[in-house]
Amino acid sequence: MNLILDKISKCFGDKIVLDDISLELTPGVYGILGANGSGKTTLMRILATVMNPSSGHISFNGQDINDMEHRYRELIGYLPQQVGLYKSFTAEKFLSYIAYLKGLTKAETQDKVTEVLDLVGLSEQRKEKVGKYSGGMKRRIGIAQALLNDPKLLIVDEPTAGLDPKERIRLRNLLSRISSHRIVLLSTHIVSDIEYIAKEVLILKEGQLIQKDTPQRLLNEIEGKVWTVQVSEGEILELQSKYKVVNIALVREKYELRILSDTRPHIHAISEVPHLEDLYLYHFDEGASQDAAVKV
Amino acid sequence: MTKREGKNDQGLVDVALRDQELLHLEQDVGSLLDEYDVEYPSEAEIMMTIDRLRPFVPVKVNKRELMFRNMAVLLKRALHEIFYISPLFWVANSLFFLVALAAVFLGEQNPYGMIMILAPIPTLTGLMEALKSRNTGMAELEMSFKYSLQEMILSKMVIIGGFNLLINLVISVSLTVFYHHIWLWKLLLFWITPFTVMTAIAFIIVNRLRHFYAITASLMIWISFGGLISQSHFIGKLESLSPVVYILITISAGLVIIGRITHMYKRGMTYELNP
Repeated sequence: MNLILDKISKCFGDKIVLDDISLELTPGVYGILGANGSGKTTLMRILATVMNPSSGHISFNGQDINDMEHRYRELIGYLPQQVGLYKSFTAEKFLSYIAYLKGLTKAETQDKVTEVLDLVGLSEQRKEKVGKYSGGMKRRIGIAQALLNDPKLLIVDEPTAGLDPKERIRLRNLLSRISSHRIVLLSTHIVSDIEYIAKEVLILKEGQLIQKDTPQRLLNEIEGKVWTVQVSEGEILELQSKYKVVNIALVREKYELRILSDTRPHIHAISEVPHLEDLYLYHFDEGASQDAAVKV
Repeated sequence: MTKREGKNDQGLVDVALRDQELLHLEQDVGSLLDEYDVEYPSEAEIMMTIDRLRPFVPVKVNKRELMFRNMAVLLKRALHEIFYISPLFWVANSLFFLVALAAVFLGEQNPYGMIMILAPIPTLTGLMEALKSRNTGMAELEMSFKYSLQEMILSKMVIIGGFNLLINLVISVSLTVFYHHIWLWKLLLFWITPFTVMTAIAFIIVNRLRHFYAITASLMIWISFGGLISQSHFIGKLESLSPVVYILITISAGLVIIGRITHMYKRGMTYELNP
């Protein structure tokens, strides 16, 4: 099973939102990383057929998705970034309605609704109105609807936005669990969402796919470029002006700075194991030094 | 002999040699082809090839059959959608229906004027249901489903139209049963004209504007028009108009509706989400 994007571009007037994206996806989790406005949502919308590309082709198992029409839509599960839900519907009614819109038969619907509610841990709340759900529960019901048709391609756009850490981990684990026989495409700007579950990470910058590789190989690229150093308050500004400071933490009356630099930034600096967050900031570093938060 | 004449003679010799080479080559290939024998495939092999190619042969579509099949699917979907339409829609329109009946039976209002006012109201209120996806933020999600958003809207419009038809038929029949001086055909004409006109406008709104304020505006316009109709001199003027005028207006509006439905079904709405 594969999904091939061949020179996909999208323009809105003069603005190029996606520029010549070509890639191949096979079963597993793919994390799309990019800053706001990098083209993540546009790419997802094109894959979910809610938007047409300005140029280029997409094929699923060798067939053009435009030729496949509803046969392609039968294969996908999509969770957009913003989804309103029908607030007056109970979870059960909502999922039954979506199952019908996805073309499931009446006989299939009941079992499938129960199955996906179990999967996302909402079985006990199945009779509650979705309008009364918390943000995390709404995202979970969103995932549940995406899974109703047992999709071969699952597209989830910023699924963890607005969730507390516990809900984020829960959702992350759920996506990882269901990814064995399908292509899961997950867009986020929260690096930890994909750090442990992504088979490959796609980095989008200003509409261009600048990198696509396994997290480990991407991290190798910045091996030896991540440092920590403990300094006094007076030294922080100087280091911030010279280097990319990605984090500042107060540790025992000293400030521990995490710095991205090709060379040792300070005589007492220690080389660190890079994380995906470092890689993200390496590519999307604008204002990082100034914005680095102080953690106590 | 000049240098140029010498070159020309040499060129002619080269051409003659090349022609001779080609002639030999042609003879060689000809004799090879004569010896080559294409084996004729067996009957089983021919049938196997035909069977393998059969899935790729385009199926001849019977247009009439396809149209009936599409209509059947549309009706099936519309019936399914009934269960997901907001109870508010049914309650509000039942109230309109009761108010209209009470106005005629108790308030002694002109039945033709009353049915004219009531005719498009279920359609206009039903538009809110048809456009619910957009208002609730579900449109993007619904566009990714097997049944497209325009197919869903069309299904909802079919229910709304059907409900309107039913509600008005009930009123018309009730009025003619209790008031023998009322003409059924005239009632139907006074119902069908505003119904088709407002439905045509509704389809244009759904297809192009898709905003709730457009529905509210249409409702307000119609209610104001209703105020005008309820004045006896105005309804008198409307009653004096030739039925041909009503029929022509209805036919024109009907054509717009058919055109819009065909457009929605064939091409879908030119709907694209912006980033």
